[in-house]
Amino acid sequence: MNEKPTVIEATGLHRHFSSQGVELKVLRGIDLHVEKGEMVAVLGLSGVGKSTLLNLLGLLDTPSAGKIFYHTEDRVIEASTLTENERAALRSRFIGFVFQFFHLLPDLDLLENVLLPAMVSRSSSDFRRERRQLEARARELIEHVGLTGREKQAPNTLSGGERQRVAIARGLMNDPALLLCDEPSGNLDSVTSEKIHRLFKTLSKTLGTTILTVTHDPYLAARADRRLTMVDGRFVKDQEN
Amino acid sequence: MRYHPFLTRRYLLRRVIPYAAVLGVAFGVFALISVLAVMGGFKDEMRERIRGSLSHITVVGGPQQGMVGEDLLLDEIGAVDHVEASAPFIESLAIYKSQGLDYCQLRGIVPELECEVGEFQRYVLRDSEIRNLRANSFASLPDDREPMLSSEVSEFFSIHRRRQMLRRLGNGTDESGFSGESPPQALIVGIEALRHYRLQLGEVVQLSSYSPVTLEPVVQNFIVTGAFQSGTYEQDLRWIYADIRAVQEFLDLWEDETGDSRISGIAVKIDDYRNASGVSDLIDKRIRKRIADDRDNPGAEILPDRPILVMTWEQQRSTLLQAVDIEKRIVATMMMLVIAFASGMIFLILTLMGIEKTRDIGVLRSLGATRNGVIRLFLGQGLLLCVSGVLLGSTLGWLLVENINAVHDGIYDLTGRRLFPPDVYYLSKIPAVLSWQDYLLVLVPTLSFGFLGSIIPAMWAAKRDPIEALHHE
Repeated sequence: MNEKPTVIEATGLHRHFSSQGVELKVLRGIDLHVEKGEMVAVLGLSGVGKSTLLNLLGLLDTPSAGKIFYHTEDRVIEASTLTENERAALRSRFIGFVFQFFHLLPDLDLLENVLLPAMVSRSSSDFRRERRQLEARARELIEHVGLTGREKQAPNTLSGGERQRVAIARGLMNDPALLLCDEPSGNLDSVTSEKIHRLFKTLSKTLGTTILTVTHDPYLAARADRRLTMVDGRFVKDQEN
Repeated sequence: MRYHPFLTRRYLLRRVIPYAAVLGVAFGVFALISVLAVMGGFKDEMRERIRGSLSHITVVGGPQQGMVGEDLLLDEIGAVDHVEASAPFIESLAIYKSQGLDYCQLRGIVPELECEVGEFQRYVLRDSEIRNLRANSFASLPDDREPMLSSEVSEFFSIHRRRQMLRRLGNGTDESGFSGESPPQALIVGIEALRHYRLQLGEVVQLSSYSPVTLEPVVQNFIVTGAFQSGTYEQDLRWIYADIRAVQEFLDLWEDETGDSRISGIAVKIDDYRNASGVSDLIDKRIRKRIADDRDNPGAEILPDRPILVMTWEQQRSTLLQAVDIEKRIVATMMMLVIAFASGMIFLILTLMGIEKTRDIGVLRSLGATRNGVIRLFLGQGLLLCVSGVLLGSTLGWLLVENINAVHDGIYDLTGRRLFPPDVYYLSKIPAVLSWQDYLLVLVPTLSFGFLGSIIPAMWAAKRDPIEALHHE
């Protein structure tokens, strides 16, 4: 049996929020296991806890209970053992994010937006030393998402689909083991969404990137290797496509 | 990390408001540096003039009793280390009658000795200089003016000069009532008294005062034989010099009890004026010891046991020097408000930027930026604004300080108004000196304000939850 290496796994994840004395249980025991190169879609209605799960997996939030393990190249790291700075460092080199509303920095041009993760994760001297290679990689990613020749354009001159493609390129800049996508086509029309879906599939196949995407778009879910359906803070279905 | 300077440039350079903050800080620093430099220069100039017009150290008696034993005192003071010269003097208020009545500070001196202890020879004017200075009320003596010899100064008090002056206004005739054989004693008056036509050269002036010994009124005629310009307006208007023996006679200062004529004090010059405090202590101890020795073992010549006070030149004008210092501090505090206001602008700009860039902060955090990284990003922006303002303001301030007289002349040419009237300050040029202490006085509070104005919004931005920041509308 040819089993692929694990990228991330979570066991018994709970996330509760207290508001005015009322405890809101958003996640109620999530177990998750994603393998390298896999494209996994988490499906569910609004408010079931999809984005909360993504924030926990992306180290932007901490679970009320349960554990998350990151399988890096040299060791397995349990999230709760990390300090604030270690979490930031792991987030920087292990995880890429793609948001529903793109969140490109308007003061930066397209190339600079893609380069931004490299700037954040490196010291000034390292960045200066590797600048040529990093710029070459950014241009390559821009080519992958079909925006060659528009590197110097400002984000506000791009269409919604184009911005999302830039955001995807940015998410891949540091060659993360895991790309977390939060409703990546949720703000796009159907034709543009279709292009983004195809792009994810292509990236998954050509670059071998592990993608975990939260969506309630059935078309995107249909292109994933696996679909996890979420209801009331739990996975109720785990289907291979 | 690389993103701090990069994003700082991108956030600041493309907006107009940060430039306004830089200009605000620059203006504050520029104004503060200029004001401190001019006030510092003015203070130094004033100290120099006070130091020139006063001796380094003055030994005075009590206001009621004065001092006697002039020769003994000169001997004792002259024996103290670092003392180079000493000269007796008398000071008294007097009223003079000329065209009208006015008061003056009469100062009796030994001209040759006065030249040794102070800079009297620098101030006494030649006749040609008096004509020039009277013709132009803004004029003052050139800095490189050759001082007179002490013998030339003495000549102003001589009988030859007094006769010459007496003839000048036709006072030597029989009708005038003044004898050319025995002319009145000489007075050297301040240039301002001549400029304001209160007195004139060759004029016979009646001085009146009270004798501190007999407490009786005294009156005597004197003749104006010369003038001086010390560079201090009040001094040049009110001070009048006469020969000490003439003043002793005029004020009836002979004491039967001690068999000596009274003096007000002794002016002392030392080798380095910066040691005035230490040397004044030595003089004080030596005179007191002599008084004590004479009391215990009275000899042929004794110094009577009278109160004495030994003062340095700074102590004599401490009120005036302190006033200039206080004025400087008040102006500096007021100017500091401009800088505080500019720092407030930095605070507002960064606070607004923190709100505007909330989503960017969320994105940066999701890309791996730490809280400290966000603090550094905003703090760096604030300090960049502040330091840019400081550099710009310092450069402009330095340029103004270096060229302040050219600027002043330019303003005069354009408006016909002088900001520093030379007839009041005697400033042929504005003295501007920027000391490193003054520069620190500008730099440290400005950078502190800038830091405070930056760190608060920086910490506030870093405290934001990245998830909330990403969903900020």
